[in-house]
Amino acid sequence: MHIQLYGVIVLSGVALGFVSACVLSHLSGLKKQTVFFTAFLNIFCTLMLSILSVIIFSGGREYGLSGLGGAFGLMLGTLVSSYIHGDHPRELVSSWIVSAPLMYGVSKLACFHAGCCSGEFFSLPIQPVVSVTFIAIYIISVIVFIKSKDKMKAAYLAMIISFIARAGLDFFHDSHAGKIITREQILVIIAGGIALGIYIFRSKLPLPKT
Amino acid sequence: MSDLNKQDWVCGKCGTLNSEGNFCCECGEPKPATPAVPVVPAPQAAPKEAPKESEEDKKNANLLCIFSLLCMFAAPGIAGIVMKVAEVIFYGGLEGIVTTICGTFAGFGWIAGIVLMIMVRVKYKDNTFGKVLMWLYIALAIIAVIIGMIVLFTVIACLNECNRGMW
Repeated sequence: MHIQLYGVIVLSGVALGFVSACVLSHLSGLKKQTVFFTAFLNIFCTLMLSILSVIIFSGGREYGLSGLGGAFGLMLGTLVSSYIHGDHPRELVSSWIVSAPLMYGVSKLACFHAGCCSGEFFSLPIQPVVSVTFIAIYIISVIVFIKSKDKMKAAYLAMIISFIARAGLDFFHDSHAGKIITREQILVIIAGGIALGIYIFRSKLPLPKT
Repeated sequence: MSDLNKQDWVCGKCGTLNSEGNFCCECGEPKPATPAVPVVPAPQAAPKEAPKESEEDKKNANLLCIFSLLCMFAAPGIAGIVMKVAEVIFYGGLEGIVTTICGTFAGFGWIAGIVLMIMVRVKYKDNTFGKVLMWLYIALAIIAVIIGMIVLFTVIACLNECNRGMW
């Protein structure tokens, strides 16, 4: 049986991100039940929305996995879980947001191996540059998460830098050639706008009470 | 020694329980004429255990579990039937739109099924139906992950999707 290293690396990245989120949640004082059920729900949400986003955007003509769709699924699962459990919701949401760049960063190594999502960043292949960038975002966010009392600061930091990096580095991809702005950049800007809106109006949102 | 001296008595001054003698062994207070008899507390009745799950809770939990099963299994089934019917009626002409709608319906149905099960486990911890449902979904998830890993590791189609710039 020939094993595709691409799949191994992608799954490893997702698994590492899940482990990271569970560890950070546990360190923040969440109950084991909350951590388990959030991870369980997020597996389904990440996978479903990753596949559905490709189906929806292609009008039902293509099947595949989308990183942005998976990220949206992860956030949806985490928010739903925070409302169901009501157990340290800020720490729960933050631990998953902080771990998302790790999943994306490691998954980009799979693209480097497969040769897809290619491009050049000042004569360097773009995939490892993206990978290193997002793993660095993850490390910085975890440090802020551990040191800060308000865990959401780490989440906002991770989101803002991730959106800027994702949109900025897209200019160096081959798929951007001849275009002013790509579909992925538009989606990232929309997602970043939503995140910014949540941050600005966070006091008025019906967020679960701690 | 009189029989009275052999009875336990409580000292009126320091409260020490004395078993014999006419003077308190602790403070020396003489034994009163009518010694206070140590009061033995009445045995407490064993506290009744609060009922673990009320009938109303059980009913609500079971209802949520049934909805969860419907979302998990009936939704994809309905989506599949609709796709087949649409294929026959429209001769595959609206395949893209139908696939999108049915796929979205089935996908969110699965997510809703999981969410309802988690709500039952969090809110009605002692519900048996909820516990069974949880283990059923965990088993299904493990099987799905194993099948997914086999497919992902061995099928080249995933690599082709990546080459089209989906990531």
